[in-house]
Amino acid sequence: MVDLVPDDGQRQIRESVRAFLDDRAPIARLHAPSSDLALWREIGALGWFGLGLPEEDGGLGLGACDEMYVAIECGRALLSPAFVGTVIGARLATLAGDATLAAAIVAGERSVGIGIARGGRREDAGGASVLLVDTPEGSPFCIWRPDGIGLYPWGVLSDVAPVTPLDEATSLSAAMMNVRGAIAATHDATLPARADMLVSAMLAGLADRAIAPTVSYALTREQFGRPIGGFQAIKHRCADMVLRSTAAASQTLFAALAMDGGLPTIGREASAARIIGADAAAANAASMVQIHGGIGYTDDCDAHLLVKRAQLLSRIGGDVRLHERRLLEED
Amino acid sequence: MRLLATPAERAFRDEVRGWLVANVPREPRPSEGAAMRRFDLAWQRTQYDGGWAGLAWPKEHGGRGLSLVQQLIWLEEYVRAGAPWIGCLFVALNHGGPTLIARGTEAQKAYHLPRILKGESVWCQGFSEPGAGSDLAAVKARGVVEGDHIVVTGQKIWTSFGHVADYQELLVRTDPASTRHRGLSWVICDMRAPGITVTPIVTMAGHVHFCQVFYDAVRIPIANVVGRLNEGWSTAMTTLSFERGTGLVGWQIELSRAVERLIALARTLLDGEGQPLIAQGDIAQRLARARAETAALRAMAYEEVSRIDRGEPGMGGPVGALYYGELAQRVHALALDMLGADALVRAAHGAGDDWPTQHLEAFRHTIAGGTSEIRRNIIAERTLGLPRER
Repeated sequence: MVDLVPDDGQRQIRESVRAFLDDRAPIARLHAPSSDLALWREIGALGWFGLGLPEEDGGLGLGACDEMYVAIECGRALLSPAFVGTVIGARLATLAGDATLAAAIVAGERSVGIGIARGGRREDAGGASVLLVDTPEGSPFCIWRPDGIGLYPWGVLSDVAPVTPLDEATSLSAAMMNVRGAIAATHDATLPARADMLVSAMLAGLADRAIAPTVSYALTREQFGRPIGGFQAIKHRCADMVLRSTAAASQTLFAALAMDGGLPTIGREASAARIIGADAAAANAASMVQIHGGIGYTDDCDAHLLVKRAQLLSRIGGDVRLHERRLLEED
Repeated sequence: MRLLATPAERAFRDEVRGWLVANVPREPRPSEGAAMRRFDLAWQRTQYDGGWAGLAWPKEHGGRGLSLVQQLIWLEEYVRAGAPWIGCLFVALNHGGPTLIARGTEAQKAYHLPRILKGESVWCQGFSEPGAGSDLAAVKARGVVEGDHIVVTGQKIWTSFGHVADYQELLVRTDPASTRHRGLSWVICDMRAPGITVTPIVTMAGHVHFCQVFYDAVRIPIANVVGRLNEGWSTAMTTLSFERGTGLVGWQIELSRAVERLIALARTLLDGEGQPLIAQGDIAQRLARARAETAALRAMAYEEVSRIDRGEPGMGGPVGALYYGELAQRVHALALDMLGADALVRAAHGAGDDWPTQHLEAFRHTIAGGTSEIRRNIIAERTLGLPRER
């Protein structure tokens, strides 16, 4: 009935993804201006963008769980959230019957950015106001809510203007978009749930990433003649980091398994994973700052990168409030 | 990896469901004393007669020898059928019996195991003492070896169902020169032996659930030692390790169902303005979070079971138990916030949900079986390698 343990193939995928990202996308890269999109062709050659796509559509034909393990590792490396846009964009391009675009996306030749709907502001009544994450000029982007998802061309945008991002490791622009110009769009809830599951996986990966450097610091930093990791006030914070990241990873795995099993509850499982994942990422990043003390508040420490990325990921495809409302919708 | 049932698992579920529907007692379980004991034993006998006793026990010891997945299916159907809590047989079936199976002599197994399975004996646990709670190795109760007996003097506390038990798994210090984990022995104590005084303790919920037990020169045959004399710590750790696995699944299913009942209640209960409670933003948010968190708890419980089933290491210490205890308290606090003035009224026994009483009972989940603080220490020390307390 249940088996939530990864098989050897999944372990190998996970290890190889981690090894690649440790080498090509170490966290240190984010302290200087750079863009992960420069890695896209290399990643495309490794097959990550088409992992869950059927083989006849140019993918590897693996399952949601395999895709989830890759996304967890991408979250750990703080890889651009355009990873999710690109994976889902390949599916939408396939759905639209645009095999050429799908192939270019899977190969990493075309990156797919992320659009985030801004709140309903009165002056925007003539169109939708969006923020674009890692969407260079000319690139398509994905935007979704639990009840619908679309892949849009750059051409639907107007008044594009760069803004200063909270998360400086990504690029951010504000724009107006014409919502009727999609390359592909669907109101089937399966694909938004898949996208939400991948975002949850990145959140869970980020929550996990916060633990090791924090514990390592707590073991080496001494005050009052002993490592601060010996004080219960610190130990218990660290234990809570494990608790939260475990809950986030487990629920994301459950959502991915529900997708592979074709269960009707996938939307709800994905929303639960988004809520638990957002909490875990934000709280673990905050604990990383707190336990590092003064160092944690500096630009030199990695902690702020996690704090900012947690905020960004939590808002892709609808924020926590939206997923909370979704969870209470009647069946 | 999978979530879907195999045909054999579906057939097993049908069999379990059919039997439970036909056999689960209709009357509510008495909450106290002799009536509770009679009820729990009778229900155990019914399960034994139906071939459903000792589900996790190996077949050669009279159990059903079910796989973990089958146990999971049983638990899910058990809760769905509204079957009664295992009650005062918890220690016998989940601790005492399994410890005898792992460490007992042939004579101990032959005498006790059938009685436990048939619903003929109630066991209790005698580990904690006033000075040995979270720090279990501080046990002081003294056992002096005199010929072929151990003479026990001392005190135990928080002994669940001590007032209705026949036997006790008792941890005493049999080597007077020993300290800490060394020199303890795990013995089967007959609760009717001369020199034992049992004093019930009333919980904050008003129930007699546990007791103090006093021992005044109680003579226990040395043949009742389980495992080796002076090596009771190792036997005790065997006992505690049985809490791993499916235990959390049962709690999780109960809690998930409580959350679903609360959500249904919030759709029907009206606030002062005549609006359904679920229209209130803060109530809705807390209910949605409770649903998400019970989903995560279920995922953690199933992942842990899967890992044990595969013989893999667990998820990093008592994360599931810690998550459950604190979540259960949040859920029951939310129930009271939803009830308004009715939170002040406790329901009659057996008359559906008694949220005020459940709120009080939920306080135990961050204390019993390891406080949240101890659980955090264990995660920090064993999973993360942070310095130990001592």
